[in-house]
Amino acid sequence: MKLAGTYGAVTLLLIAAIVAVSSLGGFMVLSQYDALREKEDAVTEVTRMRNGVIAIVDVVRARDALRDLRDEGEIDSTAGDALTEAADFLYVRADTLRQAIGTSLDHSSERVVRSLDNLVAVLDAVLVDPAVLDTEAEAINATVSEATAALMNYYDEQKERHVAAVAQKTHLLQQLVVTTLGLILLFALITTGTAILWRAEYVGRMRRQEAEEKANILAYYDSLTGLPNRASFLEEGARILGEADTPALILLDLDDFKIINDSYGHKFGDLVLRTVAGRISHHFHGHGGFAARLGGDEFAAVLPIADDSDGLQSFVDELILELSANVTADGLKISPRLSVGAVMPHMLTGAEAPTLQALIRAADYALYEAKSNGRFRGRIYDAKMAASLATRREMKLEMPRALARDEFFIEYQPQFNLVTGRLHGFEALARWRRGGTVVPPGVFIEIAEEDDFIVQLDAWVLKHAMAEAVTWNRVAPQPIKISTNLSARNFHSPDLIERIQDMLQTTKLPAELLTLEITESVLIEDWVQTLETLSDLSRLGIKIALDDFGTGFSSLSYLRRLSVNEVKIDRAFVVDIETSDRTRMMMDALVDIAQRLGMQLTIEGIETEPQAKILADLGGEVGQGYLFSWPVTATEALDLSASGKRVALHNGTHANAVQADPNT
Amino acid sequence: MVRKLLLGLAFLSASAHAMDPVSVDEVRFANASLTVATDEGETGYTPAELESFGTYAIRTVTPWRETAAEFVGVPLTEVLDAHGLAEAPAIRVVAENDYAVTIPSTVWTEHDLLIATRVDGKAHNRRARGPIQFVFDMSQDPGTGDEEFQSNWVWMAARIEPVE
Repeated sequence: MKLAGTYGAVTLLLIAAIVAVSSLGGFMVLSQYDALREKEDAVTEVTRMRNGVIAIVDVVRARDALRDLRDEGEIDSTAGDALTEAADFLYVRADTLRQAIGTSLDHSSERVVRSLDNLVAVLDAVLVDPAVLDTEAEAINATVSEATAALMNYYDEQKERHVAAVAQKTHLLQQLVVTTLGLILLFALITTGTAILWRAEYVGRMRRQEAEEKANILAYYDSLTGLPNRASFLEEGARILGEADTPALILLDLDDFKIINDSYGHKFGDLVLRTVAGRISHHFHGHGGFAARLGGDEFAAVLPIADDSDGLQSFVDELILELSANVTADGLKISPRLSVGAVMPHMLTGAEAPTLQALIRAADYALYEAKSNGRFRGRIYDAKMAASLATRREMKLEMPRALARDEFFIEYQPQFNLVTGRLHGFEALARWRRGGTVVPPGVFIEIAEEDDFIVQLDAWVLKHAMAEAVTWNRVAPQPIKISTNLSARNFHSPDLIERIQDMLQTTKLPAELLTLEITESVLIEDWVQTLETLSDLSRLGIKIALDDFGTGFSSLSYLRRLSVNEVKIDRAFVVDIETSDRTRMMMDALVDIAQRLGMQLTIEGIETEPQAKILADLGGEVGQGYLFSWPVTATEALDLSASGKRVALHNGTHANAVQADPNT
Repeated sequence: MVRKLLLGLAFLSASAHAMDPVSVDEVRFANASLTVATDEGETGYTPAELESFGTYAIRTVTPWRETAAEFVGVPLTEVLDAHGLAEAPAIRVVAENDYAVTIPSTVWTEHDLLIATRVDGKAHNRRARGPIQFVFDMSQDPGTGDEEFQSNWVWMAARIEPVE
C-alpha cells in the first residue's frame, strides 16, 4: 500500500486544494461582486448631473424672468407668475440638491446650494419690491452669474466623478472577469490533475493487487508443479492435523532424481516431477488430504483419516505402486520410484508432543529408513527408528575424533588372477572399531558420506594403503596392486589431484599400481568437473575402476561415457551364475564388452569354486571373494605378497591363502 | 372627518391599496393644471378637478421629509383608467419646469402612486413640491426612496402622455 499512500496523500492534497481554491475563489468573486454592486456612484452621479442640468435650466428661467421684469418695469401678472414660478422651482431645486447631497456636502455642492438659496432670496426680494431690480442690479446679476458658475462647476465635478466611477466599475468588472476565468482555469487544472492522479491510483491499485495475488501464489504455491509449497504445507498441514481425529503425515522422496535429470535432461526431469506431483496431489485429494512440494524431489502430504500402522503401510505401498506408473515423453520412459515415510500422532512416544514439526521429523526418520533399506519402499515410523537415527547422529559426531584416536583401521581384501591364480593385489577397506565393536562399513561409510568427513577418511586410507603397498612390492615376486575407494565428495575437493600427487611422491608407490574405485554417484553432480578430474588422475598414471557395476541406475550408460581402466562387477551377478543362464549370458557379454573396451574386469563376491570356474571360463580376469580369502591385516597381506602363492582354480582344490575373521 | 376617515379605512381594509380613500373639504389650490394627452385629445385637470376622481391618503416620509406627512390626492391608476391608459406600457410625465421622465407601468402596478394635491390637510404648494406631486408610500415601501427611483417622484407635474 505504499503506492496508495503516495497517491492517497496527493489526492487528499488536491481535494484540500479544491476546497481551498473554492473557498478563497468564492470569497474573492463574492467580495468583488459586492464591491461592484456597492459602486453605485456612477448612477448617483448621473442623477446628480441631471439635477445640475435641471438646476441650470431653472436658473436660466429665473434670469429670463428677471430680464422680462426689468424690461417691463413693473410686475404684471404674467411676469410675476413667471418670477414666482422660477423662484419656486429654484427653491425646490436647492432643497432637492441639499437633501440629495445630504451629509456629504462638499465644497462645490455647498457652493451650489448656497448660490441657489441666494438666488431664491433675491427673487423673493424682487417679488416684494421690484425696485431692487434697479438699485441692486449689480448684486442681482452677480448672484445669477454665481449660481450659473456654481452649477457648471458642480456639473463638471459630477461628470468627472461619474467618469472615474465608471472607470472604477469597469476595472472591478475586469477584475471579476479575470478572477472568475482564473478560477475556472485553476479548477480545470486541479480537476484534470485529480483525474490523472485518480487514474494513476486506480491503475497502481490494480497492479498492486495483481502483484499481491502473484506474490501470494509465489508465496504459497510451487511454480513448477503448481502444488502448494512448504509454507502452505506448514499452515494447511497444521490445520488438518489439528482438526482430524486420526491423521497421518507422509513424506515422499523421488529416488535418484538427480540421475534422472542428468541422464534424461532437466526438461524430462521436470516433467517427471510434475507428473509425480500431479499423481500425489490427486491421490491425496481423493482421500480428503492435502499434498505439497517441500522442495527439490521432496513432497509432503497429510491424510485426515488413517488406519492403524498396518493400514497405513498398505496405503503407502499402494501409493508407491500407483506413483510408479510409467512417465513417457519424447520417446523417453521411466518408472518413477519413490521412498515414503509415514507417521501418525499416536506413534510418537515419550514426552514429545505431536506437533507438525515433531511429526515431520518422525516421518523423516521413517523416510530415511526406507531409503537406507534400498529405496522404492515405504516405512511407518516407530520409536526404534528415532533411536537408530540418534545412534547415527552420534556416530557422525564421533567419527573425526575416532580417526584421531586410531579407532579406524584398514583391512585388505586380496584379489587374484582367475587365469593364473596368482595374487593380483588388494582392495583396502576401512574399518571402525567403536567401543569394542566393529561398525559395519555399510553403516559408517554412508554416515561419513553425509558430509566431508569421508574425504578425510578416504585420504587416511589412501595414505596408509599406499605405504603398505610399497612394502608388499618390495617382497613380492610380481607387482602387487592396491585399490582404494574414492568417494564422490572427493571430486568437490579442489586439491584432490595435488594431494594424491604428494602421496605418490612421499610413498614412492608407482602410480600404475594404484587403482581408485569410484561409484556412479560421482557422476551425479557435475559431469564436466568429474571428467576433468578423472582425466587428471589418468594422466598421473593412476588407474580408475568403476565399482559396484550392475547395481546402479544406468551402468552401461556411464560405461559408454566414461573412460575407466577397470570395471568391478557386483556380487549380485555372481550369486546365481551357476543356476541362471541369463546371468551367465550377461556376464559373458560384460566380459566381452570389457575386453573390447580394453578394460580390466574384476569380479567381486566369489564364494564357491564352481562360481570361480564358470567366471574363469567366461574370461573373467580378476576375482575376489571369500573363496580365496577373507580381508586380511596389513601384516598378513605382506606375508601373502611375499609367499608368491597361487590359488588353484581348476583341480577342485584351492589355496585359502589366509584365514582371517572379517569381524576382527 | 375622523369618522369618515375611519369608515374609509374600514371600507378599504381588504383592498390591495395602502392608500386610504378619504373625503376632503374644499380648499383654495394654487393655480396649476395636469394635462392628460391621449390620441383622443388633451384634458387638463386642476387640483380640484383631479380630486373629483376620488381622494385617497398616504401618510409617509419622502426623500425630502424626515417627518411623515399626510398626502391626499388621486391614484395615478384612476386617472389613467379614465383615459384608457391602464394598459399603457409607460407614460411620459412632464413638470412645469420642463423636467420630463418616462415612467414604466411596473412603477404604478408594483407601487402605490398617488397624485397628491394636499399635504397635511392643506393645498399643496410649489415650494413643498406641489401643487400636483407624484408621491409613493415610502414609509411602507422604502425602496421607492432610493436615489435612482427618485426620478419617479415628479413634482409640479403638468402633463401625462402615453409612451408606445
